[in-house]
Amino acid sequence: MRNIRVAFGPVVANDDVSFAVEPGEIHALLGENGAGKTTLMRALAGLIQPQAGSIEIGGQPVTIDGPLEARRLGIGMVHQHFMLVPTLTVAENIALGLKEVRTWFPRLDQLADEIDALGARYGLAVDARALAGELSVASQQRVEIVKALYRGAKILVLDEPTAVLTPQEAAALFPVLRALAAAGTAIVFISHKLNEVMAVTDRITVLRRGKVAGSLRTAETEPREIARMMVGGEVTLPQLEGMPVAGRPLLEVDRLGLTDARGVRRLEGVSLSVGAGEIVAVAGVDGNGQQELAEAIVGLQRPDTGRVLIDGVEMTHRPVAERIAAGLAHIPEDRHRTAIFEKLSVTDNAVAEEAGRPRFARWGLRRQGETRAFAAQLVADYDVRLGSVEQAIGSLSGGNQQKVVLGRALSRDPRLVVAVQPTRGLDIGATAFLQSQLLKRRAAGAAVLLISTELDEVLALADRIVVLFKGQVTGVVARADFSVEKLGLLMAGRTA
Amino acid sequence: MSESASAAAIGFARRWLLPRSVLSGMLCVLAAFAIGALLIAAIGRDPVLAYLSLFEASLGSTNGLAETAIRTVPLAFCGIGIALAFRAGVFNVGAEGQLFIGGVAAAWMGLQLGGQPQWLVLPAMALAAAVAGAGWSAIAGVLKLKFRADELITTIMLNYIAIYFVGYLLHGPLQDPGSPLARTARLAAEARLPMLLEGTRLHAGLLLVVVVAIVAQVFLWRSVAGFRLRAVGHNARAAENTGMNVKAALWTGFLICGALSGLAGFSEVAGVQRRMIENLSPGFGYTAIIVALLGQTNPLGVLAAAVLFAALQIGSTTMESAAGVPSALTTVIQALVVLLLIGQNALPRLFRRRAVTGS
Amino acid sequence: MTSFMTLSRRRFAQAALLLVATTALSTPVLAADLKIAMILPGPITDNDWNSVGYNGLEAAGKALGAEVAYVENVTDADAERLLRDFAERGYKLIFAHSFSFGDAALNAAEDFPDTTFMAGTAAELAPNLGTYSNPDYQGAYLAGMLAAGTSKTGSVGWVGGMPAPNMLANLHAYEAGAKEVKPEIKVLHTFIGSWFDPPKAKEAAIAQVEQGADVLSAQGVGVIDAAITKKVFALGAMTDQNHLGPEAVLTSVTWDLGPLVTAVGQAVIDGTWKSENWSYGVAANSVGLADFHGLDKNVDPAVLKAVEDKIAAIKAGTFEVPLDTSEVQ
Repeated sequence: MRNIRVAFGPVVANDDVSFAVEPGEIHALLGENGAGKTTLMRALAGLIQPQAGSIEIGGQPVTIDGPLEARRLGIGMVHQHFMLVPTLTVAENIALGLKEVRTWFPRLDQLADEIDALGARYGLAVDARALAGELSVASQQRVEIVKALYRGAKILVLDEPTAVLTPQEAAALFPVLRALAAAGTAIVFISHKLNEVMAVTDRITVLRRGKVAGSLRTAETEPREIARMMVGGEVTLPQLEGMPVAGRPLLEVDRLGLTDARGVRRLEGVSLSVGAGEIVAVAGVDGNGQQELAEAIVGLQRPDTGRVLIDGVEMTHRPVAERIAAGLAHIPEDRHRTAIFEKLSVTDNAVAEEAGRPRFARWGLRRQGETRAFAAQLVADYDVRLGSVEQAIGSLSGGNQQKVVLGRALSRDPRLVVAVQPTRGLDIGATAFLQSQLLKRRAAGAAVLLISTELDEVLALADRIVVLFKGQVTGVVARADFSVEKLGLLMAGRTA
Repeated sequence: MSESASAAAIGFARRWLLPRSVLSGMLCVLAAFAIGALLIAAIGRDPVLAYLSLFEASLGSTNGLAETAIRTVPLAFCGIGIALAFRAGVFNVGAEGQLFIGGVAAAWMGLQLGGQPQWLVLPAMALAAAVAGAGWSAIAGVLKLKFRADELITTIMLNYIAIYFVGYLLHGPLQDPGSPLARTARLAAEARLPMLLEGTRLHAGLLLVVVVAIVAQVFLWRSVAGFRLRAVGHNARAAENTGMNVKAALWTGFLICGALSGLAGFSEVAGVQRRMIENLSPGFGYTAIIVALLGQTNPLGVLAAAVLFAALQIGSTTMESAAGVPSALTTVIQALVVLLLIGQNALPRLFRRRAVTGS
Repeated sequence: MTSFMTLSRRRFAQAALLLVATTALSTPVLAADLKIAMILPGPITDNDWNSVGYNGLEAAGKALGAEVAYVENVTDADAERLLRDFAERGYKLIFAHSFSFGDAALNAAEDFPDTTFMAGTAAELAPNLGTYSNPDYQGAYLAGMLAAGTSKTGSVGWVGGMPAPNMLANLHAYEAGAKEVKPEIKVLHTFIGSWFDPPKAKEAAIAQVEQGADVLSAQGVGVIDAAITKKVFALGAMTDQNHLGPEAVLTSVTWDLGPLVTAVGQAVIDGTWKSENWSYGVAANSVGLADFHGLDKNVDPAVLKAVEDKIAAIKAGTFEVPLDTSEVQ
């Protein structure tokens, strides 16, 4: 790909980007969120048309005008979100849309045999006759890779493949990629995790703000250099200062059980407590009950067994407003769905929790001046970049939206902070800022419950780690005993 | 940085000086008239003459203006109620039924209090209408909040029930004694809204609806409850997460819509018909949905849209006599306004997708 | 949905000219420079009440050389507005062609004292508001005689809308006429509770046939349909409804409003109009029987003769059809 330029209106996503991957090479495409990695790969997959630049495959200039053409040219994509039909078998999923398998009477048995053989060749253990919906996340990912290979992929693009995997599963993926490369497949490995990139790739291209910041051989570089390239300057990751002062428990969760609307048991007997001046992290692979736990604590879901106490007061079935009054602050996982009102102004979003307090209202009418002044102060304190506080919050970047959410939650001086995946989708700078704010709350004597699937984050910030697996606590690890291996085992459901 | 600052400045001007929503609403109306003009030309009539006669009849004379104002009242009452419900995310399309229930309640109260002074009778009638309308709307509220029944369906169904129920009352217990007509007895002078303009039917309901529009505007944009109502309408989950009482906001949407639609019935009974009759409304509650949308669910905007639609309806019969254009054309124009309002949201999206996918 | 038609080309030109504000042009002032309007509760094509009104208006317009205009399908709620609109636009004689428009006419009359209003069967009058009634009960008496003279089962039926005074008068006269011919005859009656509900009217008529009635008085749309279905005779109302059922509609009690509208218009022009009840019946040739279209062979010739004699007696003033509006079960 040479001199690729993609612009969406005034926003330039890719500017004069050149990128090459050779057969047998694993090439990392590294960059912060919004650096243009995904856009570049969407251009390669024919999902968008670059305004300028050219693409060559095997030395031949090509025009990729759609996904079918991309497939014909041997480009295979494995997306972050898998695209499998859960009620079909693996073989049927792979057969979907393939002319070769025939439309009316697909030769599924033959296909299944071929798939099993293909998997075995690269160490990709898949059962072609299993239902896709019953497979683990890691297996589904292997199916996606096999699907791409079966369709003749010579160039395999993996978009953040380890985001959904446990450390062990991630470690198991790497030999597969090596084997594929050894067989001559060109692999593009998109990630923002430095350690993985260092471990598995041959070459690294770093994108920053739509441009190539540099291209390096993995063997000839070190993480610090790459990090500098990604952010364009030095970044210091936050450090825990001092050991926790054992304060009184501000959050107690007692044998919580929860069944969702579809009748699936999401939480079973979950107990934990967070004391003043302590950060407790809940780790686990995505979808093991973290969201339900958070929502039961903040009051968005009703548990059917167990209790939630905030500062010693039972809150299990109390409305959200009472919990907020008791000092709870929530930084939810899905910002757009749960935290912000996209079409309302930054001001309105900033005071959403407190609009009725005497400070912001008199005789039931809002005090415009006070409200706006508060929003302006919040914007300044939390370094939100915007044109006007009257702007709709939806027009801000994700990082700035999250800063407003953070500011709203923390400016109340909360005693209990529940932060769920607070740094997901943020760039390194915004992540560091957010993490430092959580540490500040800890230092100020608040209890912080950090629910995150980012192991690095959890390891860096937590005083204790509670591991959830299938809605149950598989272990609690104190900071002194932290190790990736131990956590990985717990996250895979093996109790310590 | 300066680029984003100037963009913000433009955004600010758009929002506060000439909001895009107002502009787009006006464009939709103009476009609907333009398409209407093509239709008039297509049947061999003169569009200019047709539109001139239309507005001459509705705005060109004292009586025409008064009639337009009279028709504005129920459209605006229902429209503002619907708009506030929409703001809360409640798609209450039951204004028609709520109007009928409010009208019959007002008439009943007016007949009960026969002989009492006006200062007592009229407020009591208005209150009865508002409470009855809100109560009727509350049925849909209970069905939604307790049984998750879609209010879009239930409110429409309740319209039919209301109209048949009122029909039963007017044929039965509330029927004017000695009359075979489905209507109540005539209200006493104390139970009628004061007239505003000599020689016309213009009644004080107009003042009431203007006050309601202003109060509703302040409520929506300046009050805490209005803010929460809008927040719930935008994102109920986020509202719950920020400690707002989502159910209270939804109830507000149901009850305000019912109460204001009930007041529409009250003003028709006490201001125009002077009794409750079977066909009190020619679909005010349905037209008001379009009015609410055209008014961008802003109470004052809804009031303006109600004036426009009232003028359209009042002028349509004269347009037919003067220009030979079927009065149904105004129905076509009303429908076109809706389609264009919906379409203008879809069109830019369509173009944007084109631009991205290319081909 | 109301629709509006102007019946005069001149009116059209006038309106157009007015709109472009060329008031300098003056139209010749005729003796009959009277504009007559009518609002009607239903469609003018109903072959029933509304057709009668429309035909009467048109006939008067021709007879007087007057401009006429109308609006059809007017609801009670909208009636006053349209009456006022006509008054405002210079129509000096306005008919409110439904007894449910009484309120509206009374209110409009109060605000337009120089305009003459005529409301169908109004209870309350004003100096400039008169009323007119449909003495079709006189015709109903004749219909009753014919029904009894045609019936083989000794049972005849009558299906009407709501028990309003005019309908009660019609029913009682029908019964009296039938009993004059056959004192022992059974007269069934049903009020369907609505002025326009064809399925319900048809259902009620079929029920009467099943109870033995073989001649039905059709005071609502749907009854003739039933007569066709059940192969019995029906007596039409308002206009000659034979075309609705050439084998079933024996004859129709017709009402011609033309003489009345013309007379009222002439009275307004002459300045002799009075606020009273204008009633044109059999004697004025307003109410009568339509052609039998050959079906009179089914009627006892003696009865046919008796009917003819009865018409002559009414015209001569030697017989008066009894007017009875008492309520029935």
